[in-house]
Amino acid sequence: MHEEPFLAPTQPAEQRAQRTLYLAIGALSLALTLAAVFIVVAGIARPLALPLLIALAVVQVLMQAFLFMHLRGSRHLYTYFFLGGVMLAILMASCLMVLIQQWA
Amino acid sequence: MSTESGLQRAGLDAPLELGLPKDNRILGIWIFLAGECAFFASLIGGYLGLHMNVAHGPTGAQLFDLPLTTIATLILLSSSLTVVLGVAAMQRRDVRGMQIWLWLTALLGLFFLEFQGYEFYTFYNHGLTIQTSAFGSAFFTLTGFHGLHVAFGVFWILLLLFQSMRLGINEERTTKVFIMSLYWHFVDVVWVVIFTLVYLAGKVGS
Amino acid sequence: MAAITERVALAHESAPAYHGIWAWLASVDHKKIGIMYIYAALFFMAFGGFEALAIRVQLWSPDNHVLTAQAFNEFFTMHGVTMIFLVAMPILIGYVNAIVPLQIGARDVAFPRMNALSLWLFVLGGLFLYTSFMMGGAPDAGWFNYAPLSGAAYSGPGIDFYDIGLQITGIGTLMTAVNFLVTILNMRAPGMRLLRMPMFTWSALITMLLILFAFPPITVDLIMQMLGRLFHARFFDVALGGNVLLWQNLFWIFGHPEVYIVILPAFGIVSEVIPTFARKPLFGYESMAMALSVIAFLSFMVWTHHMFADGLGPIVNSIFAITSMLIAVPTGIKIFNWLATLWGGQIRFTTASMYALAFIPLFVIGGVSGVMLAMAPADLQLNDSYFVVAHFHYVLFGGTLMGALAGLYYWFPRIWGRILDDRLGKWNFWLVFIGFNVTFFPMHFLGLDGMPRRISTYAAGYGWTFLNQLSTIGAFILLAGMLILLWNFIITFARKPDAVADPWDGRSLEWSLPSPVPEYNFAQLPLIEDRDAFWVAKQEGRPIQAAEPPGPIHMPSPSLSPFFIALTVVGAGYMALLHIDMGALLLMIAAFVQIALQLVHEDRGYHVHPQVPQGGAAD
Repeated sequence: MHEEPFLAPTQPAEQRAQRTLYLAIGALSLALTLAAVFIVVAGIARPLALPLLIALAVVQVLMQAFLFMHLRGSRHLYTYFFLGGVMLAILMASCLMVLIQQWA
Repeated sequence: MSTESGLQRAGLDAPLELGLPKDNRILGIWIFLAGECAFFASLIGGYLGLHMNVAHGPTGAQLFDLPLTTIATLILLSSSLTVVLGVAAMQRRDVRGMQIWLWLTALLGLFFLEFQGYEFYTFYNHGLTIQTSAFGSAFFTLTGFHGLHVAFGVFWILLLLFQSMRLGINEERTTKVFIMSLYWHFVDVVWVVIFTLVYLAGKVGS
Repeated sequence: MAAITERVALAHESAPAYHGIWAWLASVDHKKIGIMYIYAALFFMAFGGFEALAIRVQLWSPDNHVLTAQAFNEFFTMHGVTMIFLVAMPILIGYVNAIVPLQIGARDVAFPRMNALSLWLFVLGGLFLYTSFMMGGAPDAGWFNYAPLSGAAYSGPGIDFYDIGLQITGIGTLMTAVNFLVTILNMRAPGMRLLRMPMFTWSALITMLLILFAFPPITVDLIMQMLGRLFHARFFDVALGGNVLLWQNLFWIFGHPEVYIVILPAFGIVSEVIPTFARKPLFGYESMAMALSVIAFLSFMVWTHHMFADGLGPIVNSIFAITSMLIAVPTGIKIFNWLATLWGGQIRFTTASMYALAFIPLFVIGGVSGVMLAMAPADLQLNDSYFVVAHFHYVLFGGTLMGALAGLYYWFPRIWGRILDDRLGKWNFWLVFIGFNVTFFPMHFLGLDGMPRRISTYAAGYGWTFLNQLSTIGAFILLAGMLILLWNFIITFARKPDAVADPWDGRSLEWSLPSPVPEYNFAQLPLIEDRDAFWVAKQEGRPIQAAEPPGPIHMPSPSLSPFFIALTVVGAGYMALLHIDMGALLLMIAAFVQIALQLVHEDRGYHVHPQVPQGGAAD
């Protein structure tokens, strides 16, 4: 019922491919971070900058979760917990932010 | 289906956990991480609601040193890469490789903490403490707890490293290393969110 | 390729020997841990009940002087904290511990040592809270502890006990949630799909999800307050940019799911007891599971109904009024399903079933007053009055406690191998039922008449005296009922464990085991092919099929470490309280080191060789 929880490639070719994927993701993460910093440093206006920054962060988070943390290819139950947690977190943080700034 | 019950006795001569469903611990850590999402959500929500209240103290825009924090972020992101390479080495049964990557991860984690510590020290000297304002309280609590999570992660990596050096790697310990890596990635992911919502958003349009 | 060291340790052939009290302190067995939860909960209930009686005596007449105002504040605060955190939650978690693994056909929980740690954090954390009475005063700002009243400027050391004590017990509870989520999701017997689980296990599953997401916000809230009190953090300090609503929001984001955490397992108990004593399957099983899930989901969307009077504005109030009324719908579905289960059943009246039956109207009354409070304009009148006190006692006592007492009488033979005397049980039931209603029903009217909550006395001439006196009389009737329960315990334990394995002709798996339940629960894990598999097997005149051949069973070793970790953590709590910062830090490090040692320790466990019962399970 519960197979090997993370798919470990066994063939050398697959292992090399996996390593390449990891390096690519790592490089992409660094690039996305620098892109985000660039958005700030370049002085892009707030109404445009904030959604862009959030979008970049979302991409980073999903990449890390699905690829580095092996959500892709693992039990769906892990994904439900993770995405459930993230969605609840977004809801909670937003409500908290709004409800506190409401007063005075 | 029926082999699962056979697992109960597969571990007759092995540590107990081998007899239980293999992924109890992995499911456990994912569940724990979902709870941690709620924990950090509360801290982040509190920060977002309070960060404009600076009393007479400095603001984030004034204090945040973007180059410094960017480097710290890149360091932590690199540590995510090193840990996943360590796990891959482990899965190839390359114990030496795994150990090297884990040492690197711990080192990068420590560097990150150094950067954080330096940042806290600088802010303190520029008049921002936990007591200065609601912003100060929220900032130090949020980043401080994240830092504590990183510190615990470093400690955990070192523990697993020492255990692997003394006892080697078996099936159970591979699970433990994998779980630690999930925790580590999560802490990194939280930092990406903090970096975006605290530092970058704090400096945008200023 | 580097070599992999295959050094694995062999299991012991027998359990390490612990005797007497040490066996209990070192136990990692879910059944023993469940018993300890229940005992501790009943112990704390005596204190919570005493606090309640003191409150009722003080409120007997106007301008009474039995308790000073300060003492009154401490008593009603501790009454609330005790009953919710040290009685309701632990007794329900005790049942979950004792029964859920049996219901799903498992031999223990996923993480037995962490389970023990949860228990000891609760027991020692609760005792820590109570020492506050002797160390400068108990918390006195209400169980919800609002800032700024609970800040350093307006309150004493009692609040530190609150912050630290609840943090300690709360961490334990979170561990329980992770433990049982993994247990229920991963360790069900072969063939037990989710929709074949007993309803109590369903309620446990959903409750644990609630705990997982609701406890972190209170953890953060308590941290913010502790930092405020210890290090002058400004979260709730308005002068320097803080916001008192932050406390309230985080508290109720936790607090509302919390009350569902304490009611859902009671729903689960009722869903077990009623079908058993009506000899009918639960009506609408799937809708019951769905209702539990919807209730849990909605419970995160209603919290601001505790804050209608905070001036948040009509939009916010309207949204949360609507969601709060919505949550009555799935709850109503459950009520109708229980009634439909009873309809056409052969109802047996034992103490357990009477408590479960009484639960229904009492909880409905509490629910109705709740919907009344959900209407924001009405709430502006009723908020902070005795109407609210009536409402939550009807749901918490009429709901949770009645359910818990039903569970106690129902599962007593499974847990302790004896049956509580049913005659005394019925005396207990009627005195509790009557006493409860006499105590709390008048409070609806007191609230409508304008009597505020949390006042230590009231002046004559308001017309409140008579109803207060009625309420106090009711409290003493309740006391009589509980003393009868105590007496029942005493005489029942004076007997040997003589109960049969299946005294109620039960439906679920926990009744398929012999009495007393062996330490390993199931000699052979069962193969489940139906809902209510045990009942089906009984109807077909056969034992439940086994999913595996008989053989030696690998059990986890007992360990004193969880107890000592909890002791260390509470020690650190005292150090923090006394502002001995270095001591607190050192003890916390010591606790972490002990935890780390447990993480790297590879338990060898030990073997048991079960006797396969006669006429035993088929292969």
